[in-house]
Amino acid sequence: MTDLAPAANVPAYGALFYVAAVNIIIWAGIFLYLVYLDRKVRDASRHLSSEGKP
Amino acid sequence: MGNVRLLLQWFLGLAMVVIILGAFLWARPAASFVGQSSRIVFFHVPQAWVAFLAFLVAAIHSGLYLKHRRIENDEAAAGAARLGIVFCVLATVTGSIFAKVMWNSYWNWDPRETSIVLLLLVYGAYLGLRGAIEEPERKATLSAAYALAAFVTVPFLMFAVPRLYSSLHPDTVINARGKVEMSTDIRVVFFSSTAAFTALFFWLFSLDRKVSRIVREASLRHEQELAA
Amino acid sequence: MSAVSPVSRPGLFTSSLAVLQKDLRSEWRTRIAVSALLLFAFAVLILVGYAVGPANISKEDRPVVHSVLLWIVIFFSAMTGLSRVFVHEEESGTAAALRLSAPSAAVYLGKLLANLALLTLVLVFVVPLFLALMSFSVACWPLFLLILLLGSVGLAAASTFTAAIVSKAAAKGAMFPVLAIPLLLPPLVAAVAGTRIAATESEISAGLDILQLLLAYDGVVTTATFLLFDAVFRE
Repeated sequence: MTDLAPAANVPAYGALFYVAAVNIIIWAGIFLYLVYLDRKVRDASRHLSSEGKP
Repeated sequence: MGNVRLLLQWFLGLAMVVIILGAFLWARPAASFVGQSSRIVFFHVPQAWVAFLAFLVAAIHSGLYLKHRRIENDEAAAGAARLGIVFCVLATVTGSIFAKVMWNSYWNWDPRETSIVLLLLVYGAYLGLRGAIEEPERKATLSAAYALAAFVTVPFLMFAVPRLYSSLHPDTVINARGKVEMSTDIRVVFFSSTAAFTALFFWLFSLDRKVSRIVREASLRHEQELAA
Repeated sequence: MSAVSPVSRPGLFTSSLAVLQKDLRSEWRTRIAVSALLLFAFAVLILVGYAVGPANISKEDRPVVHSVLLWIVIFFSAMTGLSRVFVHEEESGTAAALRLSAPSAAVYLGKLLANLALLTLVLVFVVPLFLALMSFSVACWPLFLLILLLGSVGLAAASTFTAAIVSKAAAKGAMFPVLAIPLLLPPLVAAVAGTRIAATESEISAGLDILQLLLAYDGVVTTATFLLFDAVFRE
């Protein structure tokens, strides 16, 4: 259905904005996941240290 | 061991940089795509691939849990599902952006769009079920059984939906003739990007498993301290 | 994995029938599930019939809209009633007794048959009414009936398994459709497509691939849930 052969002449910056947006969204999603993991570890360790003190 | 790990991590980081640069600067835009939009393929398709891979990993660990009853397998299945939902959302959103560029509409009910949404539903239902059960072993057994049941039923959608709608989706990797039809530059960037995102998935997955283990051991120690 | 021992207990089939009989008898005493299902189906039918009606849609759009609406009515009726087989056992505390008195394979088959009976009753009630209220004309009756039969078998198998899971979770009523929809989307999509074909084509061969798809789904989902049920039920 789609021909993936390289094209000779396309406008130099056509639709490049969307490609950049796709990249930003992907890395933001992965970053949010890392934040989630970080919070999980922090909650667990805080739980331990605060209960151990008194 | 630690050094090899560090080396691999640095290698992956550098490879990601090279791939992104290659995707923008080296690979040429493909014909029959609007402008530069074919470059989305290098980022969107790996997300979808990882979303399906995570489902496979979750199903394998669910099966292992039912066989050996080790809580590690349950944690791994849940971790794979959490990552799966992340990549599933990324694949859906980036695909939707691509659809906007290509067909001027964010959503077309294309078979592949529908199947990624079904996958999203499965992950949501699986994690929702886990949230609705308190006792760890019961949670593990029931969610493993559900994951396996979903694993055998979901592929049927791939056969059912094309009978309702014809696909607009480009045959990116393997077309009807079963051949990879890409020029060399596109192929190199595409497959390295898929490999790199797969590696990233397994890295995040191993981090998730370690975190789950630490949280479990921490709560176990907490209980022991309370009992003492 | 299987808890069935063929030597000491009565055969799988007889004990499944015993479970089915017990379910039907307890249902007959109260008729809660049946009346809830039928009332719900009737309410949805009236709503759909009133809002959409036969006259509001152009003739060429009817097969599409009607086949979707028919399966929506069937699906939501199934979602209101089919979880009861296990949820009721857990809530009334009889699940432990059931676990002791019958092997889990027999329990699963018995419950599946009970749900299938319930669903058949709903179909017998809903489908003629739907055809009459919506002036839905069927071009190929054998195909239409086969789609209904295979679709409801798949619906019953997946719902029975989901009901077994849900009965052990919190927020049972809300969880049941959430868990069932991802499993049921493929056969529902196929059944809608098949019903549309049955409304427009007079030859059964036009819907042959849909029938194959539904048959494969029914076989796979029944086998898989049958094998997985033991782990769920004994939990």
